[in-house]
Amino acid sequence: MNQFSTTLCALLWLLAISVGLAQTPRPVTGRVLSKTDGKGLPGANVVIKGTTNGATTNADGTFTLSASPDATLVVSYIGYVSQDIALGNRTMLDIALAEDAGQLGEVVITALGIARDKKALGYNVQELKGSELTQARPTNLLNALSGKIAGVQVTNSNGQPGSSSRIMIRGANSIGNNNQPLFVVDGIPIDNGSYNTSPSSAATNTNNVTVDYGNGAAAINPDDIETITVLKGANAAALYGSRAANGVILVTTKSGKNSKGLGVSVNSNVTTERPFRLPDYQNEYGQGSKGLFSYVDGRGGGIADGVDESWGPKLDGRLLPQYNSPVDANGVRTPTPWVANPDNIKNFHQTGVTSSQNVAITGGSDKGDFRLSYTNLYQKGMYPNTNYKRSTVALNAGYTLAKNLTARASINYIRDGSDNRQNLNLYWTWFGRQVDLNDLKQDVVPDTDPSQWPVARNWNSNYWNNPYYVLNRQTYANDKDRVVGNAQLTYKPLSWLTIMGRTGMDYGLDRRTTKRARGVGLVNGEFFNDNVFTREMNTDFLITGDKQFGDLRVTVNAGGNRRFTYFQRDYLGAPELKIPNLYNIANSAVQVNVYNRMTSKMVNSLYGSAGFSYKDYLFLDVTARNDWSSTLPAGNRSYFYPSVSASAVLTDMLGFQSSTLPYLKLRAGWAQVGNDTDPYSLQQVFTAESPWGTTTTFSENNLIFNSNLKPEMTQATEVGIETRLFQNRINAEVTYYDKKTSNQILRANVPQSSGYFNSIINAGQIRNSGWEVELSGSPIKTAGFRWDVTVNYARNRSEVIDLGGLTNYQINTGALLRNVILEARPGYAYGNFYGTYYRRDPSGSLIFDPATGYPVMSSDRKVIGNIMPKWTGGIQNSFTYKAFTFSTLFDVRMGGQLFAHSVNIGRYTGVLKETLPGREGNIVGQGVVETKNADGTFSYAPNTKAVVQPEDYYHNFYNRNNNEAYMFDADYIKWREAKLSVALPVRLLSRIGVKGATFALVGRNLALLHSKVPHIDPETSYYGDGNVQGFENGNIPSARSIGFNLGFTF
Amino acid sequence: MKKTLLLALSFFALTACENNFDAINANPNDPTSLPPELLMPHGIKLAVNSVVGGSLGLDVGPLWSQHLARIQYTEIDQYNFTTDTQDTPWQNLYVEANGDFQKIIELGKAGNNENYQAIGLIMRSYAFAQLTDVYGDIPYKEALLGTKGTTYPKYDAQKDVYAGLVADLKTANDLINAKTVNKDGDILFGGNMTLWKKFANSLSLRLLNRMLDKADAPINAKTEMARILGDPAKYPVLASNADNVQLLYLADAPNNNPVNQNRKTRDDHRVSKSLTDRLTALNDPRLAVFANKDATTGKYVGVANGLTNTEAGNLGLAKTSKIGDYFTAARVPGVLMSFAELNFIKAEAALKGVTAAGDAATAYEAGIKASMTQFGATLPADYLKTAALQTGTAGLTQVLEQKWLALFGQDLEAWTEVRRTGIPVLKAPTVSYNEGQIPQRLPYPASEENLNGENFKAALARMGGPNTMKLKMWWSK
Repeated sequence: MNQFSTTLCALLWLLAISVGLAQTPRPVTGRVLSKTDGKGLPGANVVIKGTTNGATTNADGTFTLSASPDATLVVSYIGYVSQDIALGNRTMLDIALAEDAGQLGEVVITALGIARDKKALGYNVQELKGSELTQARPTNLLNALSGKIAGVQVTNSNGQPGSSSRIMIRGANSIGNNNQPLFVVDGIPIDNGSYNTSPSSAATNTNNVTVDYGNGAAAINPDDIETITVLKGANAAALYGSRAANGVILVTTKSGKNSKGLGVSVNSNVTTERPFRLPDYQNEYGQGSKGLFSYVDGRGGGIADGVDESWGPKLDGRLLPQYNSPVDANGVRTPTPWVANPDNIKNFHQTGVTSSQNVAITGGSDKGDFRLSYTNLYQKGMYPNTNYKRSTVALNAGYTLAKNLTARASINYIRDGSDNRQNLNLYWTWFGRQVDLNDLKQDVVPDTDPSQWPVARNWNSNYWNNPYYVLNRQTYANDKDRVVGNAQLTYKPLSWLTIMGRTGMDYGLDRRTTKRARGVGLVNGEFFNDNVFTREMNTDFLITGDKQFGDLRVTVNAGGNRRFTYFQRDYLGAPELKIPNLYNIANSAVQVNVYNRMTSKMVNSLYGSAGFSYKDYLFLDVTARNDWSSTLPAGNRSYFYPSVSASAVLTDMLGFQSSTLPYLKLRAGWAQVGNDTDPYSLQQVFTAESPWGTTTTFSENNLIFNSNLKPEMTQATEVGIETRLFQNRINAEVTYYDKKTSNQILRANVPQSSGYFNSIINAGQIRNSGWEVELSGSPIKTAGFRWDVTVNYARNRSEVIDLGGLTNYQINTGALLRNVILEARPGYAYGNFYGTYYRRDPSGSLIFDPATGYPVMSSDRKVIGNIMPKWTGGIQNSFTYKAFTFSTLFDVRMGGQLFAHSVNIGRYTGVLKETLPGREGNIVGQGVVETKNADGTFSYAPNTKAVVQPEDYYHNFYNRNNNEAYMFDADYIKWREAKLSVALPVRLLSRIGVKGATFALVGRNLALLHSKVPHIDPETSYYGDGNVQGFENGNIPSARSIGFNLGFTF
Repeated sequence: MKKTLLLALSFFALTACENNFDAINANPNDPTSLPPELLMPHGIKLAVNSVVGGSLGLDVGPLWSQHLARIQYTEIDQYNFTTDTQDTPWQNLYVEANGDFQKIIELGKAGNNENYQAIGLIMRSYAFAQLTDVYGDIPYKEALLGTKGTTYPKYDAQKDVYAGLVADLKTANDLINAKTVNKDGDILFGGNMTLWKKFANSLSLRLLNRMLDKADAPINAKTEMARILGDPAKYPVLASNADNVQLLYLADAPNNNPVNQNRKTRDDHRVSKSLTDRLTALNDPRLAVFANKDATTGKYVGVANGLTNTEAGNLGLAKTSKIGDYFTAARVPGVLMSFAELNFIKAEAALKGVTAAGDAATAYEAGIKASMTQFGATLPADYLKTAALQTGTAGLTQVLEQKWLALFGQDLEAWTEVRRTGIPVLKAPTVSYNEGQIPQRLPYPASEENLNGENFKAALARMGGPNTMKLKMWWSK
């Protein structure tokens, strides 16, 4: 059965149920309003007491129903106090509802887009308003969540425009699979994949990432977001099934609901970017080795001129032949002064600019509404010739087709991409500190034949191309079309019954083109064309019954979903070009590289939930879901999982509500969520290899497939307490959770002597438990001034309990940075760094080799760190005085480590400041030497051996292969956001039709208040948004951004 | 009521769809079955590339046999290296090469083509032989059975691996019959099964030669050598340079010679002073083939092994001799075994009393001639007179010195012979991470320590020490 027929089925059900509806007496029309602002309340329930007959209000709050004069109408709306109204002779009436103080209007969107009263929930849900995302906006939506929600950890990969971010909720559930939450836009799951792994390495299952193309959910435009709801636990997400085991981020886009007539809004946001943090370089010694340098050809033709390290002569103005020294008629270089250029790297970064312009039109009438929005974002990177572009057109419209039948559709077209995502890994760590980078702007020697490129000016020609040459002529571009949309029909045959059918799609086609001109390490240039196509179709239906029986209100949902995902990647590469700088696959000088892959997956699901509410203070929810996944073997492909949660509002239940304690709620929940696996994991296949000349070639697969896989299972328990104190001045919510995922589907490494790299197995268990605290309050609340503060804190403990007999599971595979292994190991938190370390005496002093004077590195490896933070948190403060609002956000991460490869190399090469002490020679390392005694014990004496050459000392002290030396605590406290906004006086602008205007000065990533990592931003990820976290490799630094936001409504 | 009905209906509709789940989850990209010849190019290429390229072929072999020396990043020339040096060859030979060969044997059996079984066996034996010579004891009998349920193979003692390989190679020789083998898939011999036989038997002789002095050898090496050399009709061996076992690389990446590929972007190697000194002393014409003159003075300048980076830098890239152009061409063959080597094996065997090996001096001279021809050098008129084979130990030394020269380009084999015989006498560099000794082996990769710990520990216990470069091979004890 295909998509179409499923949709048809859903429509048939709708028809079937609509048969046989009839009413008697006279028609009554009315409008339900909010007492607070007099606006219509859409979706309010109007029911004739004692019957199941009634109506729901439409967009502007109006309703129509039939009732006899003796009827009493029960009018209810979530977050408001219900009213009973005797109809009498009226056929037209306005009903004003008062806000329920005990609820404070806390209605949240929960799983499947169901709006729920927050107090009825037996689990934690947190919400962000769209307005919190638009002013101090990051380009990547995920970064906007950082520090704002307890238990949500966001890591921005690097400072490249359009780069990816990783988001993880309540720790890592899965040892080897995805650990990021599911993203749902208007009820339709969307793709958050980054597909950054290059296809050639994808074939051998490695984590190599050369370029960061961003993650799928990053592209959601903040201007179009009404709210973001974070469903953290398995309970909250149980109805979403498999992919929700890591939580769900629900995005509800703006619509024209609640609007009357035509409205226009315009928003303009412009920020500038400078590097957030640059390394502390030394500026006393230049390029070279053992204090010597003299340039001839940059390839070793002169004295140490092939060396890309800074162990050369003192930068004292002496005259030396340099790459940019003038060359006389005889080809001899005239020596020029050897001087420091302390700001060479700082000045290499240009000021980035991000401009985001949005215009939106909304309209509404009693029949329908719409919102049409266009946003254009352009970001100029801090590296020359890098950028990111995004245009978004969003349309969201609804229409009442007939009485009780409404249609709604939303479509977002997003085009994003970049002309260049070049990130110059480690350029400034293998470096000569004296280099005047400004001089290199002339990247190609003028008047040279392009086919002879690079006849480039550069300080080194042995290993490095001129950086401007690389940025201008070795580009990684992409251009992606994305359509996310859905259409739904809602039928409400009875006042208590709603039937909804919906179908949605997320379609993405990313065309990536890499054009690299010839250069060092690339003799003939190369060209790659990589098309990544993703399509996810979801069709679902949901039947909701909601009925009051005396004091008991029962809500029942039943639904089903079919998901079909399709992925295709077509990659063509010309690894050497015949005609230089002609970027066409047909111009390949050698065999073309080809990679071609298609995968399909289908999951069918049925689910249901029942919610019971007793006197609006005692609540019980049960859910059940069964999935059928195409990726599992026939016997295990169907799997069922339930959840149950309960909550009690004690203040209402026991009647001790007071102004000191107006609200106290306890809640508890238990849930199970099953998970399937990737397609084609069951049957052993051969791997296609690049042909031998014209001979087609395959190889035995490196992976042992498994035809007996079972679904993974996550079990979670969650308890919490929610309270409001002192006339609602303080809100507090505390949650404890404990979850275990077992039967994990792993690609476990096996000894290679078995003939294979890894084997797909069902094994292992991981546990995450933790506390979350959310506090908010208004310490000062006077007529003119208001101070609001929100604090969140989350502590997660992760433990790998079992790996099915494996001693460890390697998370990173393929080419590793300095061979540091990232692994899961039973008894430890998820994500250990495993590597080499300094040998130390029992007191912890470094052991030196008495013969050489160098510290001794271990010959084995051990656990030297872990990626998981101990706790994360944030503090938001907001001060409002009349029309002015100032708000700030501090973002905290404590615990866990980072492997900083650029620090590793920068120390080895002598470019960093800490390599200055002892530069004049004879360094004696602080530590001990070890002597083995006759009885087998060891004794230690202070090291006295002096190393003559500082270069030799530091090369060995900062041994590149000593992993422990570059593990740093990844703690940070960041001043993440600041906004100063003012509501402009509308009176002045009303003549030109302006109804409202706000201006804001905004800043992001303003300061690093605490860090234990030297030189770099501790928030970074070389490998992008996958499970391989905690590695840094000299990427573009992250940005501090400062600018303004200006918004008008007409 | 209606709702229940609907639920039931949809349940049927949805579960009915499970019927095509098998089709949805059928992999459209990769084959589940194929003929064995499609596996041959990859397996053979990876096996040869691991030996003539990668860490073994580019660095471990040529530097530690002192054929070449490093002029940049000299650490590995001082026996200081990153773990991928030991990880990658293990990985490539076991997973990429032997994974394919094991499957070729299986498919040959299933398809009743003995010749594919033989090819699989011979190539697998070649790869196992390289592995055991580099690492010592290795998983052999229980290896390569990952899909058959043995994921944690036990290690076999090197002597048992040797004996097993000689038996495997005999089996392969005996299996070969008149059935056809796909010419395109057989990128080594183009389907010529006689050449496969010659390779199998010559490889056996190489292994047996190393067992000659071993009293604890599980098989009688002399008898086995006599079996082969005494019956050339049944057990043919390499008979001329035309029979050399070599992979003829193609012009373009990724099928070009790995040295060619390396030199496109790197310039870290020079010929070793140990080599230039000996060739100069012998007035050997191969010097002009093995080395280029330096770019500055136009002389042959070899570089001492294991210099510090500064010392090397001061010598200068332009003032030292690169490896000869012959070896950096795209299509230069990757040699697995040469006629010259076989002659030196015969000469040594003859000196050690294997009568079937014939006359030692004849074989020795044939070896020198074959090597000169192989590298396109003209044998000087007085060369053989000057280098005439002496008797006793001096003669053996001459054989092994000439073998070391002839193995230029087969540098891993040269390192193995240096370790086994100590000839030529080579000096370990001053700065040495192996206590002033030429390494005896590569340590096992960390993956085995992590994943196959118990078997790994048992192997080290048997070999008698920790996982270092110092542990001696069985054949060099």
